[in-house]
Amino acid sequence: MAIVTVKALSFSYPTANTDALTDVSFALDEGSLNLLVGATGSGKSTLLRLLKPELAPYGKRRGEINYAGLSDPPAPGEIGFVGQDPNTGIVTDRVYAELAFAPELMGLSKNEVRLRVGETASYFGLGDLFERDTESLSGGEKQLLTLAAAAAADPKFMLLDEPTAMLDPIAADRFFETLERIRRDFGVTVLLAEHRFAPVYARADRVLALDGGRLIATADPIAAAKTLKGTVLAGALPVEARLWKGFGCPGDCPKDLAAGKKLFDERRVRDLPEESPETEEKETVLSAKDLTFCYQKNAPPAIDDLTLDVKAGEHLCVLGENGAGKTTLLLLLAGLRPPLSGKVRFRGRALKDYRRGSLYVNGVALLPQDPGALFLKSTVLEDLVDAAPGKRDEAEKAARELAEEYGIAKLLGANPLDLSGGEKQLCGLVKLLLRAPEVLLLDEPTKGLDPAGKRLLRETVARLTAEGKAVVTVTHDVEFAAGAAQRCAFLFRGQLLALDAPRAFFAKNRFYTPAASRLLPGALTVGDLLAVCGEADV
Amino acid sequence: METLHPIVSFSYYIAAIALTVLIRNPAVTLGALAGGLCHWAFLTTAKEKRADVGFWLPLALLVTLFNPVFSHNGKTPLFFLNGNAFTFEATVFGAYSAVLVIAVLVWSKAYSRVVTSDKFLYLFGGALPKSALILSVALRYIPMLRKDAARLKDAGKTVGLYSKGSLTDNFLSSCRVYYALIGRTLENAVGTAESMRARGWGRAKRVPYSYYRFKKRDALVAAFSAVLLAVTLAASVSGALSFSFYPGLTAPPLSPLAAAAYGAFALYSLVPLILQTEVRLRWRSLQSKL
Amino acid sequence: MKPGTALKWLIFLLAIPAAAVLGLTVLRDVKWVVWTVAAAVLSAVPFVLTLEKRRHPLTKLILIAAMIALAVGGRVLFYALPGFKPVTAMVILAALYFGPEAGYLTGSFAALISNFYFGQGPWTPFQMAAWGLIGFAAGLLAKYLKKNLVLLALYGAVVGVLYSLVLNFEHTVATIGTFSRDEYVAVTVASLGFTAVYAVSNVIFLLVLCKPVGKILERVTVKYGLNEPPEAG
Repeated sequence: MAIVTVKALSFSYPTANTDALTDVSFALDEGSLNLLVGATGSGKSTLLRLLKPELAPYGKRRGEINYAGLSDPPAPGEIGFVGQDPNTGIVTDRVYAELAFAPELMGLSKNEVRLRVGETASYFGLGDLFERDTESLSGGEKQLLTLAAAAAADPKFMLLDEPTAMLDPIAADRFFETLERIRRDFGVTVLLAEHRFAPVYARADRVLALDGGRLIATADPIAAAKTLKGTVLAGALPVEARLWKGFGCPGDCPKDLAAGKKLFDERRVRDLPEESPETEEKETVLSAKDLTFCYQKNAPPAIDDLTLDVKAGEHLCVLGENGAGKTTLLLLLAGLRPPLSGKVRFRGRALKDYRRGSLYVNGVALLPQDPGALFLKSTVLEDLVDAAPGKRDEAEKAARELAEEYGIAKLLGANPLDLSGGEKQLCGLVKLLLRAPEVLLLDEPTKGLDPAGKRLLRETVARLTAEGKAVVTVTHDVEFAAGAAQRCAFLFRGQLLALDAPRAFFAKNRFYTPAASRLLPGALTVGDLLAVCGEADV
Repeated sequence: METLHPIVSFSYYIAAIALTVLIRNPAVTLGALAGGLCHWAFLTTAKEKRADVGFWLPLALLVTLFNPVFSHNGKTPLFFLNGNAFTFEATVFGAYSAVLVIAVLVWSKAYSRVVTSDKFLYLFGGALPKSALILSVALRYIPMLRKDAARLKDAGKTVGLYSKGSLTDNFLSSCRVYYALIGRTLENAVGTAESMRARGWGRAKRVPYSYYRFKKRDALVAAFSAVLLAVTLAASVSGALSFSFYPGLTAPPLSPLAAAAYGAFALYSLVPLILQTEVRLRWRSLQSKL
Repeated sequence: MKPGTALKWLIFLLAIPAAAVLGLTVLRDVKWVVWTVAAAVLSAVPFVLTLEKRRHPLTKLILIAAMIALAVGGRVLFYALPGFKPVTAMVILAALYFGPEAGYLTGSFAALISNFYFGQGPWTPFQMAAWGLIGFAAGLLAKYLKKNLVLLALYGAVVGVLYSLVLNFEHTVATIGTFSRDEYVAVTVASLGFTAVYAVSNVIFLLVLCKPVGKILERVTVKYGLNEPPEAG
């Protein structure tokens, strides 16, 4: 039974001349899990918001949306919404207050409110966190709280707009599991928009794909994979689907890893080529020796006796989970925190010997997890000009040239607060590049990027290393590291436990391995798999 | 004390501070100070105690000496300076003021520890929902702001802020970070409002979540305290407690009412200690039974 | 009249006379304390009532909360300069762009919230009243203060001084139970250093922040705050 039916929905924003959504029609069955995929700007958020009256944007709307089984118009609590920013969804300062927010407004009695809050906290396992300050929760906990707070209103329909974009894979998995639990236990209909949809792809009842505001696919995952193959979204499909696409889509798309392996074994013709060792000796440009750092006096060290060399023209990826010390490491390498013991050297000189600020001109640059933090002015151009050296005229010229080179010229007049995640990152990178750094430190740059964005990031990093710069990326994205790094390192509790070229690095790991290696040990990307089968990677 | 229903603890502290400030009788004030210090002893760590005492003692000294220097009332001069009399009464009044000020500070500290923001919001949120909303959101934002400010500062340093080392540059860099922070926070505000509307704010009347329950213990403490307050107030109203410092130190006669009031208020001030002891004894007896 | 409203009027009409009676008869030496506290607390009542009784766009309420948070939380950026607090400047700016009523609420609640971090006490109602009125007056004078930077700076300096004077008044009355002109003068003179730093910091913050922050606030009021239809609540 369809719970939501959308007929010929079109929508355009007041200031835009093109439609954000054109003639979208679909129906969602009660209790189904529906995956909404599409590149950034394809209209996913717009569609999700139009489905919830309280969030619907102003603009010109045509077509109809019908709800079965909900009030007319639907009450706020009947349709739940979870966004991607853990901080925006949370409105109160205590966990229990957040859980109570919706029940308080549902016209229940005092005791019913109390019961609902207790129930919700118990079901979602938030009992331990009940009295905590909301800001003290981790990103994953915050998103679970947002989910629980929405669920407390007993919704029949849940809309989720990239809820795990800002989370690490473990927190993301936990979020999906909890979402599935609610769906299974209570028959909630779920419409989930995601970039990193590989974990839920096979489980979805239906996949809706948007491209430029049009629905190009609405079918079960296997059928949808055929349609998606042509788009850039294919990069986010599970590895077996990508492999199948690489083979030209023979027959049906393999439904899981085992089926994928079968397909691979059939097609395999040779072995992986031997990796030729790096002959060129690269120059060390930034080094850390016996580095130790603690956040509080008697706390365990956040960085523990760490030694690392960063070489020019090389992309080094540091992998590790939340709390391993990745951001702390970058802060130390950038000289933003003084180490407790040990030294960081740039171009042979200790960081503390650099005069204030001089380290950041022609030196070290750090792209934060939130690139928006680099922007202090009201237009992108102003920020770029601010960063470029020299007088106003020179600076502006340099800024415009570099913006042109990186394709962000059209964003120069925008307010940084209005940019999308990917745009902020690119503009942030340009701002840092205007200071001609030799070393670029990137903190979780793949967070929230769609497959196209990740590809662009890979290409940009390759370009930077080709120019002779050193790039250090900290990430939890194994796929990205496998595909882009020249060396990989594994960080755990502030200690560097492994450091090697990618193939050797991943060969030693059991868990932190790229998906391709599960079809063929030693393979890093789908490209490697295809090569072994005699196919070229498209 | 922390486990009492907010209405009881809130009223308790307000009454304690109010009477301490209003009833200007040394015996009463000393009782308040004694009880307050016992309470404070349970609420603070050794480090905090050192910091507090380090602030209170110099302050007490300052207040004590301040009075005789500026006030020359009193009939018993100790010595003369510049033609002004430093009187005994003025010095005693100074010392008394010091005791009063410290007592108020001690009780205020205890109040701040026990009646936390969530308890305060619980009390007033029912009658004043919009005010409680504003306060709650502000409290939600502040720790978020602090983190964001640190991030902006770090990022700023890598693009040229805080690079000149002078105090002016430091200040102006911080202002620029502040300006960026304001922009980001106000943008966030829209998302907050949206999240609220999405969950039904503005539709039905709000039934606040009653996190605290009024238990028998609360009723007992409230009743007990009320009786003690009544006795004290009765004595004060009747003038049995009026003490004067000028022109000479004059204590009121020790009537039964006055004595009862001294005892009552001292006991009132000791309520937190009594509660603490009661809890400890109860635990001990429970553990001995296990 | 609804029972709730009747109760509020009852409290309002009884509270002032009760305080006066209490002050004059019961606690005869300390009527000053009672009157000043009552005045401080009661001055908030009309504003709070207006807030609760009238309809306001939700976004406006959240923006006020954000301004309060920024006013209180901003302190952390300037700890290197003791005595330099952006609170007053932010309260004034909030008032200039969101109105006198919003200005009162921002100031008053900023005092309350600030004390949750730094410690509550009998000084709280006075700080709330002082900052609230600073905001309110700024909102009333918004037309002039927005146009003229010198006037704005002057306002900042004046309220800085007035704030100190009011707080010193509270300290005097609370300490000695009654108002003594000598003590008050002495306290004021003793705290001249703080007062000066405070006034100067207000002026500097206002001058540095008013244009850029004004731009943001202007953009925000146009984009969201005051043009939406009021919502129930």
